[in-house]
Amino acid sequence: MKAADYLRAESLDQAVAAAEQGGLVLAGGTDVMVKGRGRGVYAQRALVDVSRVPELREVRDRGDAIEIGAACTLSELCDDALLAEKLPLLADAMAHVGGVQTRNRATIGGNVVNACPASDAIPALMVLGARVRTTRRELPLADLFRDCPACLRHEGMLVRTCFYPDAAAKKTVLEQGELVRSIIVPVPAAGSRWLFHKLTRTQGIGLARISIALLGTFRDKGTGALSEKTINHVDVCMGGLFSKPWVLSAASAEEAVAVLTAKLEAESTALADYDYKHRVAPALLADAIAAWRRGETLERKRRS
Amino acid sequence: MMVRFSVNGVARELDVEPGERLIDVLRERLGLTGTKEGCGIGVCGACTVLVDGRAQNACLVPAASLEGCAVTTIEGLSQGGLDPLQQAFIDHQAIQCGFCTPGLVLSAKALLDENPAPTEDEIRAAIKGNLCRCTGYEQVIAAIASVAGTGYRALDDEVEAPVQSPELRAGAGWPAEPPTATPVLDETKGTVPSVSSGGGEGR
Repeated sequence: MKAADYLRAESLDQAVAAAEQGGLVLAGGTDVMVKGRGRGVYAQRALVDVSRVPELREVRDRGDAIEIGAACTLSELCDDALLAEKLPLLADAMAHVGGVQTRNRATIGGNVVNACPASDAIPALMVLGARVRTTRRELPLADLFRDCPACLRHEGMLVRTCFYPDAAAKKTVLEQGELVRSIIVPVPAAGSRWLFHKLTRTQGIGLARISIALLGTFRDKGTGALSEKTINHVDVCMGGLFSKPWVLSAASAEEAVAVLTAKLEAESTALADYDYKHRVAPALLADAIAAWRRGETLERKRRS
Repeated sequence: MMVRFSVNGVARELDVEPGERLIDVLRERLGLTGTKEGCGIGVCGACTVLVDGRAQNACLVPAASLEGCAVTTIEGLSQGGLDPLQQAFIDHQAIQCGFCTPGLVLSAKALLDENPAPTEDEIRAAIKGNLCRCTGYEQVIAAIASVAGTGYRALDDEVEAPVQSPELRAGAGWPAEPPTATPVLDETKGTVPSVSSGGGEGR
């Protein structure tokens, strides 16, 4: 792969300065090294390696939220005891990313900034109501993303078919020289329950065709107490379907499916593989809500 | 640009191109061709090496990022004789074409170094990023489990006593017990096992 220069940034200031001069920020390189292969798209750009910037490597417990440094690798986060206890939905979603080799390099900040519709972490972060702290501001994760209609056009949502060498510039509101410092993830309310499922072409390490993250609570109609009988509300974010991450909030399975179906029909001419996805996505949502109510998952069981 | 890191315990100081990949440094500059390039896009795991003990795809690692790191390739495992994992792969016939083998062995090495007694599910998770078109993985899992001494049922042809379940025997693909003189009717399939003498109808 060709690049104009390579900087191992040792501080956030150094990384910001290099990015302001037009450098392309990379951490694990699991997307950049693929996109840069063959096409020479980074031949004129300096690569700014932020994977060892100390300010981006911390996980901090803020009580009602956990602040996760952008350059923490997915493996580190999957092994983090605090995340396992407080944010099991996020840990489970990240464990679905690729194989061990990918998770050992890929970072949570890179996953967010790359803004791939098939991202495993983004749907989980969306339903958790995550916020993004950049070097210039703090904003809701939902506001970081820009509409990317081109994302809908490539079937399979493969990294190597992403049209944009600099995904952050095209698909997020980040300005030149602005870096994501951390992701701030609120700890869900007590009594809430989550589910994550990734529908892939094979049981191996493929990208999601459709993914789903659910988070919500139950409430008994009579007493008002939290119970498993009645959905109080559920937040759903599905990957692989839309031009921008989007959270669907509903009070029943029927409502959720109806809202999803209407939203999908609106992009019937834009979404590659629509014929498949418009049948499967609502069924997956209904299945997921049913399993979530029972406290089960949709994971396949291996024959023993 | 200059970068200093060790490969299989040998310190190296190299002048690499800004975007040069670790796999190219290993194969082209250092002659360590045990690391294979399969897909080149971080999916197949054939180029798996250990960076500071953790499995990584060498096709996605910029060599310039490795300042101060320790890289282990398959060549580094067999200094002074085969690693027990390599011997186990041979013993369990966990190799056919062999292209994925260096990567599989290193993924297994990273697993066992961190978790010496993995369950079968943990073994499967550890090699999920290594594609193998030949073996079907069963022998690979058995090989890794044999080194760990845990968790995995032995393959049918390693079992001393005959497999009891007729379903398992019929589907196993190799004889679980020596041929017998009298054909034995497998009631679950309604056919005669092919290993029996004089049988084999419908095969």
